[in-house]
This record gives sequence, structure tokens and C-alpha cells, in this order.
Amino acid sequence: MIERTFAPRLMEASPSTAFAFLTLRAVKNISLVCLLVCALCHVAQAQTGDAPVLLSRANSTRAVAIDYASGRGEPFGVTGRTKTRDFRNRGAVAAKSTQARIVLYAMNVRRFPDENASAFTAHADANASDGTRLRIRLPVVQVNQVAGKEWMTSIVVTVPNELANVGDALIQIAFRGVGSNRVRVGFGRIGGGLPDDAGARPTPAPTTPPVVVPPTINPYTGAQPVADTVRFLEQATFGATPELIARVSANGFQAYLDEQFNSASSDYPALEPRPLSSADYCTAEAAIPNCFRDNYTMFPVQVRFFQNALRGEDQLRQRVAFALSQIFVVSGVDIEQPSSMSPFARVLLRNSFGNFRTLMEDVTLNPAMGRYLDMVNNDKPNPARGIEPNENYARELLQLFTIGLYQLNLDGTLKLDASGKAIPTYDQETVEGFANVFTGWTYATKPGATPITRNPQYYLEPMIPMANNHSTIAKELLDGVVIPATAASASNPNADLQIALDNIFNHPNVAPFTAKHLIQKLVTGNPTPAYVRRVAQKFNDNGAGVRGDMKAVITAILFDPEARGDIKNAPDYGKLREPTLFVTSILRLFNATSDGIGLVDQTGGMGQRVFQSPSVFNFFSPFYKIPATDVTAPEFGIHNTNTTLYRSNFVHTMTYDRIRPSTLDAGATGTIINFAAWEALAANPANLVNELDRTMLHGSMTPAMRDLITRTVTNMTTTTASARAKTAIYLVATSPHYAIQR
Amino acid sequence: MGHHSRREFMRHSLYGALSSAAMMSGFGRFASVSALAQSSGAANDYRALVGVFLFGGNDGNNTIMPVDTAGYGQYSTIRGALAIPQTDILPVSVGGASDRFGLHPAMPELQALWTQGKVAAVANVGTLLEPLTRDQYRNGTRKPEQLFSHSDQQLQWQAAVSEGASATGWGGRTADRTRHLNGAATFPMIISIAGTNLFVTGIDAQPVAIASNASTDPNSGNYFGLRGFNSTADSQARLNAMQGLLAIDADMTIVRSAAEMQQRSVANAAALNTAITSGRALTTQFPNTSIGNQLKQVARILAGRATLGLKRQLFFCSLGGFDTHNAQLGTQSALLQQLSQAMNAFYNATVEIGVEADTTTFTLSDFGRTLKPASGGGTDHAWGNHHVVMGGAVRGLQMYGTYPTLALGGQNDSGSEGRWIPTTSVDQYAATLAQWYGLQTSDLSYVFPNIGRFPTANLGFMA
Repeated sequence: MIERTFAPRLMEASPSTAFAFLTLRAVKNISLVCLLVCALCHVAQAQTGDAPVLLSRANSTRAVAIDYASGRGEPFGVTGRTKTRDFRNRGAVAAKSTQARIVLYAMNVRRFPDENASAFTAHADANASDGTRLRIRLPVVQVNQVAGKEWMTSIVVTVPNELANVGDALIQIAFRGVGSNRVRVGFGRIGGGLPDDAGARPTPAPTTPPVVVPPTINPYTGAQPVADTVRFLEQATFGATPELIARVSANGFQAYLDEQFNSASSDYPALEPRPLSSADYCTAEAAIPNCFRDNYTMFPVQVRFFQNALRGEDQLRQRVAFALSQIFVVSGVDIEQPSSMSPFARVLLRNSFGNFRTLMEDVTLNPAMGRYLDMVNNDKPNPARGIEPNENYARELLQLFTIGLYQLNLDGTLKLDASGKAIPTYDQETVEGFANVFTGWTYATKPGATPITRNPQYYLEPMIPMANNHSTIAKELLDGVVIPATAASASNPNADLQIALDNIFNHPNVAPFTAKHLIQKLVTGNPTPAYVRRVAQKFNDNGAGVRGDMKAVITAILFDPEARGDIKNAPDYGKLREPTLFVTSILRLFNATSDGIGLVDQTGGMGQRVFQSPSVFNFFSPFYKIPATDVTAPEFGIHNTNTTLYRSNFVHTMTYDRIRPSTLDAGATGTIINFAAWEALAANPANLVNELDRTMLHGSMTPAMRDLITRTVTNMTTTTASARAKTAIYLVATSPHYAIQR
Repeated sequence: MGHHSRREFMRHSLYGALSSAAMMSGFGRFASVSALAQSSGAANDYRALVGVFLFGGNDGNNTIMPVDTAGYGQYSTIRGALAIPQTDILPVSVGGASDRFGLHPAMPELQALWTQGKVAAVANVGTLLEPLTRDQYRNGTRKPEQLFSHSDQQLQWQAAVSEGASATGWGGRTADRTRHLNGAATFPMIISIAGTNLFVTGIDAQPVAIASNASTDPNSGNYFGLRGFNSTADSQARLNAMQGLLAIDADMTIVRSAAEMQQRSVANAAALNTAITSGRALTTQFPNTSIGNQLKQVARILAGRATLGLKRQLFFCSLGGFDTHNAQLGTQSALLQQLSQAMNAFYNATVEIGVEADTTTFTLSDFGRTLKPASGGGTDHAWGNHHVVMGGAVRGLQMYGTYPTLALGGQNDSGSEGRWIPTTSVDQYAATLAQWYGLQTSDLSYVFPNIGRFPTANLGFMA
């Protein structure tokens, strides 16, 4: 949609309108520059500077703002008129009624040319006419540097209907996850609304133009601030430890990535396949202790998962594999034998730093996945018996693992058709095409057995092709690609598989789809489109012409300016620590001794039983929004009155009690925290709370929170170091501030 | 998918109104809830709806099927190895004829309740934008978005909206518009035993989630409440500080959302534990299965409902595993057995509590499954599906809606594999239940925005 704007009528001789005039004239040229420059853009790696500052008038917090079309000042309406050029009608200019847009002005925005409107968010807080307080998102539609005043950034936002006649609203913008000051803007009328923020003061344009400091790319080599180090470790590991904070802060993030990319992988237990019938095996082998638990449930891999997460050195590899396990889901709800899950877990670990195309193939041919989504022993069509190939793997590979249901722009936003509707990526015929591709594969032949068309269960090797059971009809793939029908004698399951996986891998959705998923799993549930685009670009080309390079993608995610920085305080930034990370983060920080047993019961009570997702749709949906908000927060999909109590009670268990050693396992230690280092600080409650702030909240604790906790600890009647330390830790660990990784 | 800006309400009441006393009640009494004045509009009677979502897409074709010679012949010819033997099907009386349809052999309990007139079926229900014929479908007439996708069809069943994203579900919206029936009672109308989801989400309605194994015993590992507090000054100070922290940084939407959940959980858990504890101990035995334990938890709450002071309650349970692409016969049989046994126990419990005529249980599911089998002894995702409703207020001995013609490429098939185009919409099925529950005609179009496109908003299966 091409929209052209015309210079506004200047109704009010104020500095702000002059800025706007320059801005609007500059729009087109700057856009062109952007297009040219962006081709050269690498993932922006900038140090997050100070927060953006929205300009106000000299003596109040009232914003410098004008109506985009008319140039008038406040109060603003919610409808406006925009002139558009209708190219289907020979470019005739037509005025159309639209949502009103207003222009705000900011300074201290150090952005790269490709950080356009999609890198910004804005919202307004107001009192609605019915008295409810509302917070409403203002879509940001244009961002430009003001020509001749390059230190100043103009920000055009759309005014939603909900703001009609609310009077004063407080508007905040956010850039790279950092919120600005809030300025006052009148809608319909001036006055009323919420009081200014405590300490708010006017932020007029300075009389001396500030020096423009161009954004810089931070290589993250050398020492890094502790606060951002803690944040980095929350994104890249199963939890910061005092040792890691010190080391990574001293050596820098690139050094840690280098170390991690080259570290040996954790492993999962090599388990023997067992007979199909647990009753037969465990009755016959009655002497085996815990026979059913250890051979027919996910117990052994779940225990190892937590051992690895708590103690493994390959933290980043494990963290990425954990993220991938929630995209490429295989669940022990359907797969009984843990011997099948170990190889699958290894596939994810092995490919976490590899290439996405290899990951796709290894997942596809893994027999646990084959069993879970019915690709193993998937027969060619049998017209005589009226049977069609199984569609399960075909459908979920497309929908959940790689491209999703709708066509995406590079920045992860939906492509829309002329009527404004999302465009499906495939239809039922495509699913059937891929279902036919995924025929003719069976379990690897057990050592010593004779291969047959439909081999019996065996999970220790990838699936193998059986040409005589492969569909040879024509197969419709994505983007109009068709694998033509072949003679039965030319049946080649692997050749078809390679074509089909390449077809998916090269679909333009894979980059934004994967980028956004991984950002959500590691950094924030609500990445801006600009962030998604930067990572997707790296997926499409790592800089050396390679598509799907996971190391490049991970680096881009973790080094992005929207990920980095000491403080991220945009209202929707961050993610709920999912149960597994909540548990491991606490245990790692507080130096717990743990044998890994029983931890999955804890995370399970919170809604996330590792390796036992309720379905292929994972524990929660990447699209989940917190009800009554516009905030995408996938982990909130399992956050409810029951699971939130369970989380608090886990903290209680770990602070005031312990997880007792399993009575079924010789040598079991249970899980217990060592508080010695924290008790040593407890003589001075302020120091204790400061250290908790530093390590758990990366220094983001507000004075009010600090005061409350410090006061509570100081006033305790029991003054032992243990009691004080536990009280402070309980309060921080159960706080909503710690619940959110931000 | 346009530029819909959605309101985000700052629920300040949650910070202000819930006093320290309410917070404390988890560890002592919770007196206020039961001492409720009946305000205007409150109902005098009690009614409950209990939804059971069969996740994965139950194969309705093998849940309710024809037993007469002609019908069974069509069925078994297409179903092949997946056909239930004719003599195993449990016949049920439909409109006076007991030789036309039957239930899956794993459901003798539901057959018995059917015979008592307590269970009815609704045939070929599914997501629709408007009534749709095969020709219209194949000509590209408006159809629901993303048919055959689990996630989308689950959401559409829960939303009763099949076009564009919906922020709320029909359970939540029904609660929003029937809240007055609960008078001054403040406890949430909706309780989910199966986590939260779109179905239970309203604009105002905020569900309480409680696990099936949640316990009222503070010493239990599954205690539904905050553990580890006592009456000492230090403990109380820690509790007060914990509560105080919930109000700090309230402008951070995502932090505030976590804080609100904590706030609600403590207060609601206290009230619910009190109610459950106050209810009579049930003698009805429930099967020790997932759905059995969920419905048992519902029954315990029903038994203690007077303490909550609610006149209308909406419950949500679920049973997963119905995505039977493979080895369907054994898998579905086991699941339907669990369902039948659990529903039967639940019905018996409502009799024991004395609310059998006031409690209606109904099923939902992603979609039906292809009549034509798929490789591996299973079936693929389809569309229209058959559902059951149970309770003393159900007009039983009947199947509502229209059973599809079992023919591949026939008038009810969207393609050639037996994916039924629904002849009854989710909207109609849900609206029938919601109206029995107490939703006013004037609020129908709010809860079911497309209901006017269908010939009736009441299918007549509720008395």
C-alpha cells in the first residue's frame, strides 16, 4: 500500500509545527536512503544508550505534538483525512477518512537506518469515559530524523477510537525495550486524566542542539556491565551463577559464545530398547528395581535433563535445544520408552549450533518423531483398501515446525491480501502432497534382524527408506512445486524427501518464523518486527551466504540491541520465566546440591513437565496474549491460579525445606540449597537485598521494592542470618518482578 | 487482522480492594463470601454447565454410528478395518426407534444414561460462518479459517467465532452477561480444572484454575494455597510484604499481569478451599483417571457450592489423546471408556448432591475425523462431529441435528475423504446451552455474534 502525504497546513506558529513540516518533506527521501542503506545493514549491535525522551513544552509535561494531516495542536480527534494516490485509478488523488495520526517528537534516540517505525512501540494511559483506566497501544507508522535537526526524531502514531474525548492521556514510546518519559496529550479536550508520574518534569527541546552521537555496533568483546551480564545469562543459560556472572562480565559475551560454540555437548543416557509390553518385561525381570519407571516412562531422561541443566558446561547449547524441543515437539505422553527420547534429545543438542536444514532432516528421520507424528511405516496410498497416506507429520511440520499457517513478511508480521486478510501458506492439497512424500520410511533394522517393509520398533538409528512402500503419485508442494509421478520402479523416498525439505527450507517464512520463535523462547515474548527482521536476515544469510546457520541466528538474537542493555522497562518487554527456567535459575543461583530427581514433578505442577508436552502444540502457544491486554506472552498460557501457587510453594520448599532424597534410588541426595554465602550478608539487610537485586533482578529493583524488603528483614524478631536470608530470598523469588525475565 | 487496538484495562480493584484480610484468609477464615446479600437480578435457582473438551479431535464417526443394515453397510464399507463390528455397537433409542443408531461399545454407562433419558447426541456440529452446502464450499464460499488445524479449530470451538482472532471465548462471554444472576457473590463464575484457555476467558470474567489433584490440605504437596505461613509476627510480616510487592511497578503490564494472577490465586484459593471443605463428603466413586479426577473435583465444588454463594457456575475439564492418526481402535476405545465411566460417576454424584437437574455436561472437540481411514489404522483431521450432552435437564432419547450421509464425495462431504460439512454450527449448539444456563435472548448476539445467520438459536435439546 503506497501512501503519499502532503505538506500539512500550518495552523499554528509553533516550533513543533515547523519540525513537522520538515519531517514530512523529508519522509520520502529518508525512506529511500533507508532502502539503500539497509541492503548493507548487518545486525545492529548497539549499546543501549539512555532512554528516549519525548519532548514536552517548556513549563509542563504536555507533549510537543501536532496532528499529522492538519498540523494543528491538541486537543486531537480520532479521525482525520489522508490523501492517497489510487494507482488502480491512474494515480488519481483521493482523500479518504482515516484514523487520525499525531506526530510526537523525541530526542536521545540513537537508531540505525533500518530501525524504522517497526522498531518502536507507543501506548497511552487514560481514563475511559466509563471510568475504567485504559492502556491502549498506538500503532507507530513513521519515524524520521527531523531534517536540519538530526538530534530530533519525529514519531507518527495512529490514534485509536478508544481515545475519543478521554481528555488528557499519558503517552510513552519504547525503543529497544526501553520506555521513554510519559508526556501529556489531550484528546477531544485538554485536562483531566491521570496525574503525572512521580518526579516527572518538563522535557523541552534544549536551547543548544545536542550533539548527535551515531549508534555504534557493540561487538561485546571485553568487560561488560554486570547488569547486562546477568540479563545475558538469563537468556543464554539455565540461570546465572555467581561464578558465571563474574567470568562473563570480565571476558565479554563474544568470548562466552565462542566458548559455548566450541564446548562439548551434554548427553542423555544410552538406554536399551525394551519389549513393547511393559507388563511382560517387568514381570519377567522382576528383580529390576523401578522397572516400569526406568524403562517405560520418561523418568531417566527427565532426571538427566535437570542434571545437565544444573551442572552442564554447555549451557547455551542446552538452552537452545530446550527452545527447539518446544518447537519440534515429541512427547512422552504418547511415546512410552525413554530409550527413544534420548536419541531425539541428542538430535536437538547436536543441531543447536548447526544448520537448520540439517536439523529439519534429522528431526524428520528420527524414529521417535516418526512414531509421534506417524511418519514411520506411513504407507503409500492403497486405493483397493481405501486408505490414504497419513497427514500428521506433513501438517505439523509445516504448521508448527517451519513456516506456520500464514505468509509472513521478513519481520514476522502477516502479509495481507488486497482485502486486508492474512494469506494461507498452503491448503489441504499441499498437506496431502507432503503426506505422500513422507511415505515409505520404516524403523531402522535391529542389529541381526532381517529388514522388512514395515520394520518393528527400533529407536537407536534414524528411519530408513523402503522404496516399495513409497507413494509415486504426483505430489504438490509449496509455491507451486510439484514432484511428478514416477514409475514404481523409480520410487525413491529419499530423493523426494530431499526435494520436499529443500522446498520448505527455502520458503520465505522459515526465517521470520524461526527467528520469532527463538527470540520468544530466549529473550522476550513481544519482539518488535524490527528485531525479528534483523534476526531473520541472519537466518537467510549469515554474512557468508549461508542460509540457516544457527550460530549466526543465536548471535543475532543475543547481541541485538533489543536484547541487550542494563534495564528494559517497556511495559510489555520480557517473558514469564517458564517453570523449568524458574526452577533451574533458582537452584543454580543458590548453589543447590541436586541429583535431578523430582524436579520434573515441580515443573509439572507449574504446567511444564519436560518431555511430556500435552500435545505437539507444546505447553503453551507462541500466540497467547494475556487476556484484556495486547501483550503476547506465551508462557502466560500456563500461568493460572493453580500454577502460580505452585511456583510460590516451590520457593517455599527450597527456602524453608528441601526436596527429600528419593527412597527408591540408592545414593539419592534430593535437592537442597546452600545459603551460606547469603547468610554471610545478612548482618546488614541492605547488603543482602542489594546482592539479591544484583543477581536476581540485574539491578532493576525499584526503591519501593528495596525499601519494603529491607524493612521487612530488618524488623524481624528473629535476627538469625538464616532467617533473614530466607525471608529476603523468599520475597524476591516469589515477586512478580522476578517471575518476569526482562 | 486489521489495526484493531484492544483495550487493556487496568484492574485497579485488584490492588486496592483486596485487603490484607482477604490475603490472610488463606490461613484462617474466609467469612465474607458466604454472607452475601442477594442483590437485584440474582437467580433463585442454581445451574451449572460443565464442558469437557476432547483434545485432538474425537472421531465422532466411531462414537455414534448407524446400526441399521443400510446405514451400517455404508459405514463399514468406507471404514474398512476401522469399522466397529455391528453386533458390538450399543444401540440407543432415537425418536422412538432403537434400531438406527448406537454408541461405541466402550460406553455402556452412557448408553444406560441415554436409556434413562439423561443423555442426548447432537449430530454433525462444527465451525461455520454461515450455513454451507457442498457446492458452496467447493465454489469457495465463505468458510471458517484454517479448517483441519488443531490449534485454530480448538480456538474457534472455544470462541464460537470462526473468522478473525477472538480475544474471548463463549464461556467467558456467557459469564460476562450472566454475572447478575450471581447477585452480590464475588467469587468467579468460571472454574477450570484443566488450565486456562480461550473458552473460559471473558472481558470481565477471570477464571479460577484448580488442578484435579489440588488439595485443601496445607501439608499436601499439591496444596491449593500458599504454604509455609503461620501466625508468628515474622511470618505475617513476610506475608504482608509479599502482598505489598504485588502493587509495585504496576505500570509494567507484564509484571502487573503476573502480580494480578498471584493476588487472585491466594484469595480465590482460600475461598474455594473453604467451600470444598464445607461440602458433604461424596460416596460416589470416581474412576482414577484424568477425566475422572477432574470431574470429581467439579463434584466436590458442587457439593460445597452454597459456601460460595453462586447461583451459576461454569466448569471446564478436558481429556486429551484423541488425535488418532494411528492405531485408532485401541486408543479411542480406551479414551471413550474413560469418558463414559467418568461422566457416569459425575452424573451419579450430581444425583447424590441433588443437582442432577441443574447440571448439564457437554462435550467439545477440535473437529471430527475422516471417515476414510489413513495409513496406520487411524484417521486424519476433518470437520463436523457428533457430541453428547448429559444431565437431568437434557431432553433425552433423541439425536439432534442431522446425521450426515456416509458417502465419500456425497452431499455432506467437503472433499472425498469423509470430512463432514457441519449441518449444525457451534454457535447453535453453544447458544442452546447458554440459554438454558440463563443467557437472555437480548444478550445472544453479544455472546454469539453470528447466531443470526443460522435458522435457530435453540436446538431444543434442553428442557
